[in-house]
Amino acid sequence: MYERRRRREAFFERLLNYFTELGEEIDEFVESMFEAMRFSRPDWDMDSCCIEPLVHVESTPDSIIVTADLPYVEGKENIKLNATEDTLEILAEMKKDVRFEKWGTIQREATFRKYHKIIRLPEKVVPEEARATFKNGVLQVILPKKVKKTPIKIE
Amino acid sequence: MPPSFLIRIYMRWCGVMEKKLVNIVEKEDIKTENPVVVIGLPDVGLVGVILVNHMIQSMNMREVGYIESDFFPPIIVLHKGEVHRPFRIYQKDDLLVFVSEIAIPPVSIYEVSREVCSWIKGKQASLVLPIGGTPVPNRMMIDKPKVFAIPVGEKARKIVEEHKIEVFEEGMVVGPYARIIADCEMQKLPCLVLLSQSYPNYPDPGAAAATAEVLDKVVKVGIDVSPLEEQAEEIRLRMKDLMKRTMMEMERMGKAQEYELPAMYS
Repeated sequence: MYERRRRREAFFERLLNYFTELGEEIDEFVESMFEAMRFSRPDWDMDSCCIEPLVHVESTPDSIIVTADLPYVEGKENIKLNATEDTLEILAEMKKDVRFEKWGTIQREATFRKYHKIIRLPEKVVPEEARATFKNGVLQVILPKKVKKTPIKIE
Repeated sequence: MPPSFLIRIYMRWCGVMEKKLVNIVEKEDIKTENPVVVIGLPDVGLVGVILVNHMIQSMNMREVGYIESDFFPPIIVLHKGEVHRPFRIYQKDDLLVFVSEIAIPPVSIYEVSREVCSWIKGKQASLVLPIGGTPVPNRMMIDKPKVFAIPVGEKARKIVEEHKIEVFEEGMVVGPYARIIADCEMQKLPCLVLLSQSYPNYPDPGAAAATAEVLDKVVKVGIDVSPLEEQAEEIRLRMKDLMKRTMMEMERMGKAQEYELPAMYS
């Protein structure tokens, strides 16, 4: 009798757990749907005529590779890069003022003349050893990781 | 992200499943005879969207319908004060194009593809041309991107041979086009996917121009690629946010798998 009751309780407990998990997953899904609608800061600033570029951060075994798409930037002399151990700042001047009529939410003319973005790097790097290239409007910065490696002997 | 069967249970529970999940709405009676259908969905480098947008503008195509789904984010596009859906169909004579301004949410890919392909089948299309990109890590160093084809069906294979287009022989396709390829094959629709080498994460008008040249050889609609090259910088800046959203969706659908080697047939 006791055994049957215990089994029944265990069954209901499993069922309850299942539904709790299902509920959590559903909540997570609904949350992710609303995430897209959440308001965040725009990535442009009208007063300083500044816009954030598209960037991509990639991690390889020895370095962090940051690339940025910089249309309207003509040569490397118009780009300034500043790095610390865990950030990279990109500042770039466009070759001309880029005007957009009725820009998004503000519905008025918008002008951009520079890019600015500070990227938080996923790991510590050695800024002094960083290298950068700029070709076809795409910037690539390779920042070596600050890791001390100790070789291990295989016995 | 919960598995799709859980979403379906949830949708049914909410009563969403009672109606169709994806609807194609014709704003007017679309009359065509064996049309050629070009599809431009957000994908790597937004190649399809850039090219199809250019075709719509340069060829003065007319909006004739749109696609609605409860899976899509609640977005309406305003242009010249008029309301438009983000996923639309345009027409000019016997050329139909599908274009989307939103990244297709991964949960909706199966339904969207199934619905789009059966609608195209109903229109008795002569050829379906999904336009996309294939990510190459060293795109910076490539001046003229290569365009590859994935022919589905005998007719498409003949076109590839006739125009000497390089075939995408080994690899994986992940995302909406993967399902469109599968559905076209099931529905026996001749389908020719054109994939250009492109930046994985940046809008790539150069890749779109390279694809336009190949597309023009196949369908001979007279696409002028020079505006794509002249306005490349403006396109890159304008498409920035759509690219950002597309990247987020691509991550969720495991797009990185395209870099992987297929395990079988090696």
